[in-house]
Amino acid sequence: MINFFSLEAFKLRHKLRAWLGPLLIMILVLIAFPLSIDISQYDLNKFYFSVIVVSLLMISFLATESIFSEDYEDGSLEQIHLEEKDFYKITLAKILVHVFFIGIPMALIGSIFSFANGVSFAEVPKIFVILSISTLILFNVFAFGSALSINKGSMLGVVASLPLALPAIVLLGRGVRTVQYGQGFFEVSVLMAGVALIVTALMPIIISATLKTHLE
Amino acid sequence: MLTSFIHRFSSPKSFVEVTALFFPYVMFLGFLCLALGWIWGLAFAPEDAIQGNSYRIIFLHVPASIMAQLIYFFMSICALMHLVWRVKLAAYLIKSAAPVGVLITFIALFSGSIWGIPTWGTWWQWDARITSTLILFIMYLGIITLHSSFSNAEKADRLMSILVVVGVVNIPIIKKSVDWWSTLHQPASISISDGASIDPSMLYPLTISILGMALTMIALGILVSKFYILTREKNKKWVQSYV
Amino acid sequence: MFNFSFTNFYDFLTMDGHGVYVWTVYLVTFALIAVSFLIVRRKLNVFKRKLKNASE
Repeated sequence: MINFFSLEAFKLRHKLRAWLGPLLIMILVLIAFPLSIDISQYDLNKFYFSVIVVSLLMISFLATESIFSEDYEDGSLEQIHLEEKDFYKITLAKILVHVFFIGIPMALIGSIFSFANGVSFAEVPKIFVILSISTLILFNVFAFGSALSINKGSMLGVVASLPLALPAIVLLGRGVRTVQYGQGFFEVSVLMAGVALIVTALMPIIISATLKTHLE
Repeated sequence: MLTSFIHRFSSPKSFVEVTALFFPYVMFLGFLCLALGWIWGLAFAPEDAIQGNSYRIIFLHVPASIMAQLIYFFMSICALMHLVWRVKLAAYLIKSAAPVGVLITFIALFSGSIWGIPTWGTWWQWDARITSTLILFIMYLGIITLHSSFSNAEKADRLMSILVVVGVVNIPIIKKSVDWWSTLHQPASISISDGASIDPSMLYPLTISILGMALTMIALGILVSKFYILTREKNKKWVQSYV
Repeated sequence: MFNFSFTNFYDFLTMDGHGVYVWTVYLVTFALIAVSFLIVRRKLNVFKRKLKNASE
């Protein structure tokens, strides 16, 4: 399992555009929003969170768009299938490496921007925690969408996986509200962590079945 | 005996032949129950104390919402059958049920929006029940889009089944959303465990409307699946002799 | 249970101002369901005809 992690980490680390690109786009979106609207800081603080959440959603999709397609196109996936290696472990390794290299930095960027828009410094770790857990859920869901639409373009993946991601966004919104109002953060974050663990355990199985369908 | 029954019924040919026998009765009964339920509800049920006469949309909206979820539930059972036992008919039924699901979910959303105007003063609210029903609508469209993207029909069937099974998590969210979150949408009027909170003079036409909508959608589903099965199996001898 | 809830037919149509909402919903739904049945039936008949012609 460690070998899979190191291999996927090595591959992703050397593909600069694959991990830096989504992060830069997220920063650009979060900068562009306040520039595009003539609004007081007080009003901006009220709904800037939704911009962070939506940009997290979009960039999570972007980050996992080619998580399997490159390996599919160059025949690596087929090779793995023929060698009867465990797709589950490889899928899990890919998703976790993407979360580590892209998802956690995204959560950090989101936390910093939330601090720049009204959240107190003491609350920033809480924002970081719930954003990190959300990226774990979203990366799993969008990886599933990418697996479904592996060579059919990204739009199909979005249409297939976005309805599954929206309940996660609702849960994230609830988590953000608990930070804003200072109540119930522990309960919601534990719920989110539970959902994230279940999704992380089950989704690689489903993705493996999907990839095998493409290869058969 | 059960196994031979399942094998016999799960062949597309048997399905088309058997459903052709009872389709006219299902359709007739469905239309009859809908007409009875709707006329009773529109003309003879008393006016609601709070909502006035706009509540009469309930005899259409609630059956449509129930069917929207039930159709997806049916699709998920078929998806499991296809994935586990490789029943071809199950995949055909998923593909046929999806457009019916789109139609009825649209009717549920449309009727709910129109009902919201006199009741809530707005045709849309981003509350749990409405949003999750909208997500269900998009899921139906996603399933149809996914299947039509692949030229290899067997691969498309399998991927569609996987997506349906994964998406079934949305159904309990819709069902329970009005209980889990305090929302604008009213809680369920009918519950299996707690009975009905609605007056019998409204409950009876509602129940008949639900039955009528279910039978009508089953009839439409049979018609669509017949068309789809004949199209998919058009090179087989039984189709040539059937038409 | 089966008393007509309105004083006259005009009342039944207007429903104290809510008639436009109620009747819009029912008519659109009826139209959608009816049109769906007709479209599928027509597609089925066209398919059967094409298949019959192809086999002949």
